[in-house]
Amino acid sequence: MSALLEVEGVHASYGASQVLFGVSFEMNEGEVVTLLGRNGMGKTTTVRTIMGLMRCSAGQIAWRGEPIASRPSHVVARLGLGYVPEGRRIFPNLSVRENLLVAGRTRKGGSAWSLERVVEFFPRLGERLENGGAQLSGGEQQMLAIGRALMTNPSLLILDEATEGLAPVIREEIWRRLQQLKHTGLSILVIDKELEELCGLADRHYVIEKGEVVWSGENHALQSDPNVHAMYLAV
Amino acid sequence: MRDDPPLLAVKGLVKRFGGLLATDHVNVEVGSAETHALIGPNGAGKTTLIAQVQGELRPDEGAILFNGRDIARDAGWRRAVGGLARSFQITSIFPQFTALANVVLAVQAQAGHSFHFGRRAMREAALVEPARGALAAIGLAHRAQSRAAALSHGEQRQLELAMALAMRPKLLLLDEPMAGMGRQDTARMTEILRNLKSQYSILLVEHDMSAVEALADRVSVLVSGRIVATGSFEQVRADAQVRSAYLGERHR
Amino acid sequence: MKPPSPRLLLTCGLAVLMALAPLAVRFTGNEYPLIVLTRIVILAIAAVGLDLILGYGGMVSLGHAAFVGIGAYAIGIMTAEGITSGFVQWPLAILAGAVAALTIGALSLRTRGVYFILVTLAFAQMVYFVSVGLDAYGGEDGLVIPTRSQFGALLNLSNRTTFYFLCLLVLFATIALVAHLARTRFGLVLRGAASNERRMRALGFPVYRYRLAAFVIAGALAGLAGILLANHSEFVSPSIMNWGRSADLIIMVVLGGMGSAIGPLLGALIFMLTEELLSHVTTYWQLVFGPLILLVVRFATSGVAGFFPERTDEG
Repeated sequence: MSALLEVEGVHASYGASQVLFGVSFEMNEGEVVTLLGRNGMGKTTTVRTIMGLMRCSAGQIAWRGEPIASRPSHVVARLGLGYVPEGRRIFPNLSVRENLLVAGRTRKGGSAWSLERVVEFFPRLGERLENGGAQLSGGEQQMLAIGRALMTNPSLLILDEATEGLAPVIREEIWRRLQQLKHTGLSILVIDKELEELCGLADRHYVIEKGEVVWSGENHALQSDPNVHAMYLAV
Repeated sequence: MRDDPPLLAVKGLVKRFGGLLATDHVNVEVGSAETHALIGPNGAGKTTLIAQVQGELRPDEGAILFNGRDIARDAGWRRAVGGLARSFQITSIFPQFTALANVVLAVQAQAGHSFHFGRRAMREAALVEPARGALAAIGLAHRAQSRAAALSHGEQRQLELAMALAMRPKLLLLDEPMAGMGRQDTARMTEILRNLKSQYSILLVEHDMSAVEALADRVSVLVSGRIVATGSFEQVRADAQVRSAYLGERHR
Repeated sequence: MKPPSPRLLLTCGLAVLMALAPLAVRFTGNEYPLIVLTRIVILAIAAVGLDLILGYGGMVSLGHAAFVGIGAYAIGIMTAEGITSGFVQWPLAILAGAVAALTIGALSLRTRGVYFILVTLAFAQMVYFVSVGLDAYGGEDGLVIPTRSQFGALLNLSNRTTFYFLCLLVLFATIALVAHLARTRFGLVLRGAASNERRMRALGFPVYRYRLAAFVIAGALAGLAGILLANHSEFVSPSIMNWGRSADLIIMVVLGGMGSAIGPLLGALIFMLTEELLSHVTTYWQLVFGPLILLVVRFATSGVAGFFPERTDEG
């Protein structure tokens, strides 16, 4: 049985500026995997390339064994990849309800995500259903962005810096929710800096530096190896 | 060296975009012949700070002292003529001109006004010779006649640096000079900068820690618009606030 | 000595061909072609000025015909007031074009992109409506100019052939001027700013003042074209500067080749000869012409002149 997501030797550039120099990693069904590394090293670019928002100039990306590199992003999203981008990017001129309904997609079988279920999951959104997207706080916007991705009933949820710039209380709430999502069996790919929380949530970690994967390992390896922190993550 | 007044002294700089405080009472100094690195997570406001020092953005409060004079209200081009050279995070050159012509323009900007209608600029030795010199210093002399658009990305970044040098600046503002480069090009660029640093004052924004470690005399860390630490590379690396900014709250 | 570039050969070739044109006219015995050619040459002069700011400088001015109109009306008004000496008229008319360009440019060049295009159009429309309102000088119906500019024994502008050669001389002098300017420090600033304005500022260039100077030069050249146009038609009217005429000038520049000194002449020849010939075939000639322009813009962005490369030191 093939892995859920296989990324092999992927290269990508912004115009002439090359950012990915051969990124390779994989995820299995039900796993939580992280992409670590300092800013500017290619984590967001990797995820954007997987989602088809950027062109993959070399290498392969396979979803359940099927090649998806350079497919249009709306096609990739329909295959079951739910993307929560850096900076949230909700629709400020639509209400919370509208933001969620716009994304909605019915799914055959399984316990599907619906507006009701998302609101149950994020009660705060339920209180603000008719508010405009721009009126929400940072944390609420983040929850809305996650909820919107859930409305597409994804098989893989991709989160890019979902806790950046948020107050500690909100961050904790989001990490709790992610734990709950993990327990529903949802596969999750996370980019974040909160090492402690990530070790509590994830199964495996990949460190990306200068557009390549330079380290990979499980929780205990990450926590016990002092070099990883010093070389790739901290200053 | 520390007794001389600093070449650049940013004092209490504030910049707001609507409700967002992008620059939060920032103080940073660069002494003569000092390389001062500015690091920090994405969205910290590093490019916004560089843009205010260079003149593309006007600060809401604060002073930018350059050679003792507050330049915060000066137009950007005036600051360039006064000795401030900036390179951009996304390469900004003249693609249809040759590499040499690109650098000639940089020399020309510093050679008085350009209301000259007599001679062809590319035939003026006063412009072309210094331009060739700058290209040679960067190692691009062999590409002088190539169109800038035909250069590789790494060569274009080098060209951008050559243009900054051709301005004969007192202060170099380098915004992620290694951006978009792989390991080899990064190492090459680090080497070039290492050879140059004694001749210039440099304010360097970078993500690549090995480059920062190799080049910086001092490091300042910018997080959410505020400077949270300034010091040597080792001091900054060990600082609790810096660690939590890079590794998460629990890693102070 | 390097062999001459295709562009230089083209320019010289055109100069020779056009200088020989009156001979051909002599053969057919029909003066009409010479009249058409003279008009083409005059409009090409205005187009070369436009090419300086549009092709080299990247400033899309949709109001260039206004300066042609100002130069033409200066002649018309002075003649109506009894000033017929070319030695007085011409410098004043060129000055009028330059001052108008200085005023309009000083205000317009503070804007960018789409706004600049619209502001130049707005100013041109203002000039147009002022001329419509000039009842003393014919208003909408226009003003007949009974005598051409007088240069005494030196030059008789009423002689069609003499006048044609004068216009041709002015045209190629203008082409040589603009081609030269483009390579000077001044020209490099204009072209650099068109290519990457942000970079120019970061290098230390106060871009605005150079653009304004170029705008004034272009306005003066357009004024000069207006002078010749007034003498050629012996008539001025607001229709010289309706915005369609400004658009015509842009088409000539784009078709012929932006950022090439000879391009505007090529564009003027193609545009006006096509109009001449096709309009005899069908009144719907523009249906043919429109798609042609689209093809050029899509596939041959350097215009016709792009097929005749030139060598420059700067690339």
